[in-house]
Amino acid sequence: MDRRCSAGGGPCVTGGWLEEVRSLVGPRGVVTRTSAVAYESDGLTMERGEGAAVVLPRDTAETARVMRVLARHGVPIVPRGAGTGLSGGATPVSGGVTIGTARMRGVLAIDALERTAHVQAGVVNADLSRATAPHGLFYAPDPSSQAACTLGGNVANNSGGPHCLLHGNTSRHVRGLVLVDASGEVIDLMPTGPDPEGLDLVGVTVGSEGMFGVVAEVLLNLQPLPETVETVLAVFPTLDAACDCVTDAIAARLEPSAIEILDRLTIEAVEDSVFAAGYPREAEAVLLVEAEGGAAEVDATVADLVALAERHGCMEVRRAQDAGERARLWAGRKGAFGAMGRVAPDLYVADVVAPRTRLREIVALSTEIARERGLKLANVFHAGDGNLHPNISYDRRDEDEVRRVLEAGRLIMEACIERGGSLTGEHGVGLEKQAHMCDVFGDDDLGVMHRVRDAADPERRLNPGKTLPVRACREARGTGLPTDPREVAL
Amino acid sequence: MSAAGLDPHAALVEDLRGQVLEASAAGRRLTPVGGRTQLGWCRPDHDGRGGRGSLDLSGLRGVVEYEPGEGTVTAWAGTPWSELATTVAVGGHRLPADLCTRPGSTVGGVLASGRSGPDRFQAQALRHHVLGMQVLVGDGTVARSGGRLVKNVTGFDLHRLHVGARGTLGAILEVSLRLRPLPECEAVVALEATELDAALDAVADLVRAGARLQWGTLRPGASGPLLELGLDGRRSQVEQDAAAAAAALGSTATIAWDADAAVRREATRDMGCEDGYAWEVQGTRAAILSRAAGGCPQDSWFDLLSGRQLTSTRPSEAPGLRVRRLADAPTVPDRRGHAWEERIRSQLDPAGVFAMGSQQPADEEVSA
Ligand SMILES: Cc1cc2nc3c(=O)[nH]c(=O)nc-3n(C[C@H](O)[C@H](O)[C@H](O)COP(=O)(O)OP(=O)(O)OC[C@H]3O[C@@H](n4cnc5c(N)ncnc54)[C@H](O)[C@@H]3O)c2cc1C
Repeated sequence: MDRRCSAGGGPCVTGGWLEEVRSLVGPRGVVTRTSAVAYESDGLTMERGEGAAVVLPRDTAETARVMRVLARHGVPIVPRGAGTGLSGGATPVSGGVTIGTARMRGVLAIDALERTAHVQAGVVNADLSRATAPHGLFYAPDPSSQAACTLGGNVANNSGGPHCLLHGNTSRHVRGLVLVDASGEVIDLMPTGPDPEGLDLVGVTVGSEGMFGVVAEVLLNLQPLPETVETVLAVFPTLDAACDCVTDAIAARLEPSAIEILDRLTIEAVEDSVFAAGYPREAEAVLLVEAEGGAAEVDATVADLVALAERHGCMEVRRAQDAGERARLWAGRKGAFGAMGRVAPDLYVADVVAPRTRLREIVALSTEIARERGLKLANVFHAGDGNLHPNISYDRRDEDEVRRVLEAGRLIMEACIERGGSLTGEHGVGLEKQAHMCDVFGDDDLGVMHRVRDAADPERRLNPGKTLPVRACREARGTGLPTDPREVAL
Repeated sequence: MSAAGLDPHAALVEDLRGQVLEASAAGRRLTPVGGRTQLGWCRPDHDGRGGRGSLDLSGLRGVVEYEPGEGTVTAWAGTPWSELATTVAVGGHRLPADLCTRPGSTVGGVLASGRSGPDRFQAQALRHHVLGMQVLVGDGTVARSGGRLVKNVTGFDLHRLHVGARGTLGAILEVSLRLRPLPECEAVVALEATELDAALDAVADLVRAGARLQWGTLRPGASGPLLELGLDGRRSQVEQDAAAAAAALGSTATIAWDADAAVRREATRDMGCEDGYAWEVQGTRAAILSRAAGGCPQDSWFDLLSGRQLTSTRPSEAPGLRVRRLADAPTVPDRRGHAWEERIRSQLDPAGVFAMGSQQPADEEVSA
């Protein structure tokens, strides 16, 4: 869907404020129309939009000055990191100005006793662990996009990753924030102790999808680099057996740091690509499991997991012999989405969570939903926390195929929710799932969310048109009216 | 609205709503109360505005869902914390924080108080393990946020606002928590620290070296300050790690195992109940360690690894430290993000039913 200037009524006409902004950030800090194509969407490429300009401030103070100018002129603001989001969160569907953090890449401080890092929001996730490694520390949340995505984007989406099974999503790692609100005021939410001083404004900001302010700086928790890491690839004859093995591992309260599943289609795509990791092509599914910690506990956990896998008919267990082999196994997993890009021009990456006790059932159901629509669905997902990523390859030029993909995506989501699952595990609501918020929340729940948004941004200028449906669910359900705010005046 | 025909919990929720709407109409204020065990900082019956009522949540109790295979539990807010701990232990789980509670302390009350235990060093603060909540806000709306599964980013995490709000933003009705496995083995490394400086340096070195500690506290012992470090997990690992930690503390350090370790852990944890002290100091790990190095008076307890001290003597102020009188409400007027916080309060509770009102010291309150 193309939503250029006209959509949502955002200003495409800039008036004098653009010059004012340019004088604050310098000529390299403003990207206008022609070169701003890359900013028209994020990883959800079906949705596009065009804003008036992209502004790239260099630090918190500059961000605040820019936002004060925009506030005076009532310009909508879309915060943006690397644009790797998969729910359309950074797509400028209501026009306005995109504030990008591409020039805010400083690691400001690392404290080994406190185990924290103070960073600018534009620092790329993987760069942080590189910077902290000499201190014997690493940053745990590791989205598969970590080579590109920013910590600010991670905070806004409360992003996850394979190792969040043990370490928890981004939220658990955020100690403090410096936020610039819609009026351009700098709100310093850096901690003065282990507990928040008043309401937990940091906690509520994580996962607010750019609607409470532009995150300018973050204080993040770091973990000690584990003494031992063991990576195991368990090869299964069926996807069902791999799923059941995971369900049982969770029920047995084992604590590996990651449990990922890759199915046959994913394995084939990976092995045909530059990410080839040596996954066995004859497998219907593999489990990629990692345990970290002290040598003794890692041994014990891996032994328990291998025994479980064998009980579930696992055909082969491979242990990474060295860091190089481990890196290769992970490169295959983290490159899986990219590898699938070779299968067809476009990839729809769904993100739902199944109760871990019902993994097999929901995975099978989603495969069936796709098959019925003549679509190929590949599974590669964070199995340990039930976070499914059914991937459907398609060609966006084929309108009917796009329709079937969207329909399959919707049905998978609904099937998951009906069975006690959640709507999104880590990619966020953004544009993609806004209308589906009514499937999990009622009007009262959403009403309270709207009010908290209004408390942060009374004019609703921050990331307008995202996440919260603006029409009452009751009304939409009754009359078939859209809950999608892009279709009503903001 | 009539409550007839509803299940008992729904009827209770309806009744609580009614009380909130009535208070709102009458301009009265309410304090949600659970087990009434942690109200030292406020008196439900006085606000200098013609009385403050209590909204009693203790009847709203029971486990809604404990699914051992998911590692999660959902319970009504009035469920006693200890009862919930017993329920989940049956499936091999422990609650996500090991903290001081009193008999009768409820899940809702514990969350509203914003407390965590010393084990937050390893497990992180309790607020990070709240998966979802149902709350009753000041205009009588009952609203949900989050969910029941371990992974979910659907909608804003509004439950985070209620953890630590001490009931000043609404009443917590129902809570879903992530659980942790009960450990196979537990150890406590203890040292009667005659040379406190050196012992605390050793603790800092252990942290910097990435030692797998669960918690660390300092309290007055029989013959001097008692430093204790807690470890748990797989037996083979804990045996090695405890030996290493003891070696780092020096030759007089001792190790207690399992049941003995649990007794020690509970003893120091239970000194973390605020009611025995008058002041709380929070700060960075470095700041609290250096305060502790100055001595551990008889009336003090340090949660060393989290960065917290409780004491009865007025602490001296110092850079990097936050000092609070425990009898005061948790908030101060000029705090960071205050305007934003006020806007949240007026959005959710326009009539100020749950608002704290003017802060008065307890003695003035009585004469008011
Ligand atoms: C190949 C691939 C693999 C992926 N794997 C994972 C995965 O394993 N786990 C996972 O969770 N996600 C994954 N993602 C999704 C995505 O990478 C994450 O959501 C990531 O956190 C987005 O970061 P970003 O910097 O690209 O943010 P963007 O896409 O630029 O923005 C995302 C959202 O955050 C807001 N935002 C960005 N920066 C700020 C800021 N400074 N202040 C306020 N709001 C801001 C935006 O408005 C938008 O709503 C993957 C994506 C791809 C393409």
